[in-house]
Amino acid sequence: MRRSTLWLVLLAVAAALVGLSLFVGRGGEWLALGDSGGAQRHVAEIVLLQIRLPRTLLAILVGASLGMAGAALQGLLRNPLADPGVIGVSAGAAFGAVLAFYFGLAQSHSLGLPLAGMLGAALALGLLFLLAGRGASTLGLVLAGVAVSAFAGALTSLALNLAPSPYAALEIVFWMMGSLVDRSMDHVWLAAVPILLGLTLLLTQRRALDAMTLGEDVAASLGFRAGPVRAVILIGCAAAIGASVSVAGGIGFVGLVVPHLLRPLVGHEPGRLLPVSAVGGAVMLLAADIFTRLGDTGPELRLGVVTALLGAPFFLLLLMRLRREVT
Amino acid sequence: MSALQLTDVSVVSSSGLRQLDGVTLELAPGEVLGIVGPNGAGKTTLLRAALGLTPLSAGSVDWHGRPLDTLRPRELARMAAYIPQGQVVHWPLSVRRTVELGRLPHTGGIVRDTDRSAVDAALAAVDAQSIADRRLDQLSGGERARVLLARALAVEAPVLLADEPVAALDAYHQLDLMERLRELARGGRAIAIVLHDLTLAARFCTRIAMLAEGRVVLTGAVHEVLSTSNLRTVYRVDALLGTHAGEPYVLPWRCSQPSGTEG
Repeated sequence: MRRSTLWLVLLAVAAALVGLSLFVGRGGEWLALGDSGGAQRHVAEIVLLQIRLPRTLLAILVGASLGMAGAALQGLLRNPLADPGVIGVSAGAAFGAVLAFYFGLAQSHSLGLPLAGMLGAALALGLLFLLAGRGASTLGLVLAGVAVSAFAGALTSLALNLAPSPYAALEIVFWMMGSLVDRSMDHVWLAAVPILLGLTLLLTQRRALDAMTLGEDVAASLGFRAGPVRAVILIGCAAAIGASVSVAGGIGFVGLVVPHLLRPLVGHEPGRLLPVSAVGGAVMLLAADIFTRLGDTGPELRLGVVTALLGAPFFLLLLMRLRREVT
Repeated sequence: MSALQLTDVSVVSSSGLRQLDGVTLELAPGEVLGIVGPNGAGKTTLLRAALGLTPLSAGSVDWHGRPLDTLRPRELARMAAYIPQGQVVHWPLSVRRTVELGRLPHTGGIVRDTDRSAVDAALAAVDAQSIADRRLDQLSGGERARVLLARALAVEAPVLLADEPVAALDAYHQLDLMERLRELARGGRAIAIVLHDLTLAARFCTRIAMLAEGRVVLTGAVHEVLSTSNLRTVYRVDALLGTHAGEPYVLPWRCSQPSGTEG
């Protein structure tokens, strides 16, 4: 497929999903704006602008973050199994958010939760740099990410363990499953700034990531030193992913799956994959978020549950294919 | 002016190991400099130090008369192309895309006509036009080595540093690659190549630098450096030296007996 065709198709699908996301409600009910009744129309406008619009914008922002960060980290680590979780920033953001629940900050201020999440993400990034050190190897970086992730995860478990009531614990657990329900435009603005900043940083490293295909030494001989490239990509991913997790909770597998789905269509160059993966991630998250609304019985279907339900079988397929290639 | 000049270069690793010890070496346009020496002599470290990939503990490196630390990474990238030992390409790109990566020091990401002609010339120099659209993971070892050389040639740098580029190749492809490198040097490039195969070094290099324990033991013409006594002291092997049709060959024959030398 030509690249321009692919872009057209992706953008068309994204536009269609944006429309659906704005107008499809719980149980698949269609929001009608055309009805003449004044009060009813007023309600519909409020639903559209204050409920559906932030939700849709967040799905785009968070999906783009996860998709592009996944592609960037797979390129940087030269490993198709890397995902945004490997650097430990998601776990840090989750822990920050859990603390906000724990100390009642989430309940007293509407933006307390995402702000605490971002603080957690920033701390995780700092810890990562401290552990991996200057001039650390890529392997050192991955190991430091595992350590940060495990530590933040343990602290989150500790918070659950010490939760004052089962209800509080349940609230935390539900939040960690990921959701875009009941977010306001304030959430959108708060997340948009770090996300757009982070994605811009990642886009500046496209050529460096292409060079990394030849290994760090050859990339350096082509003018792209590994240290600065790694630092910019880490900061970019941390900003985008930290903000995403802070407003939306834990949403797995998007960052892992999207680049893999797109590689057969755009090729394996990491640089070329970045922008396409952002659109692909937005499409996947919009679709998953619409899917969560289709059922009209029982409790709300969580976004992270849906993406993992779709993502895990795909991951298995991927592993089986890799194994077949090796043997 | 020499293309590359190392002066009293020392490299000490973070663990305190002295990998290079006062190395002074020059590389001039038009020559194929063979860097030889036993394992651990510092051959790879020498290339890495020249490229700024390994920090120097002492000494200086100059590229075309300009000190290494005054060059921006992109400037240096246009002066020297590098083929590391056992190079891996981490994603299965097409041959043409792989070679295009050599243009990164020149482009802003968009492949222009000058880049296209450089890529075509590099592919032609290694006879790889016919496989330009194949994927890298579908090539044989010999084809891959040619493509990786083309990638380095596409940089159009006046200097090429190659670390064991023939190590994994069969006899035909070893000779083929070395002949191509010799041709490139005749065209004016300065080439330094790390080699374990002493016959290839003897036949294709215009000058040899022999390293041992981080020092340059000897530099000079092939017959001066690759002598029976030098091979015995540096490599600890007894070698048969000879000529065939006027060209030298070196045949390492057996590990030399410690009693025969001072050890």
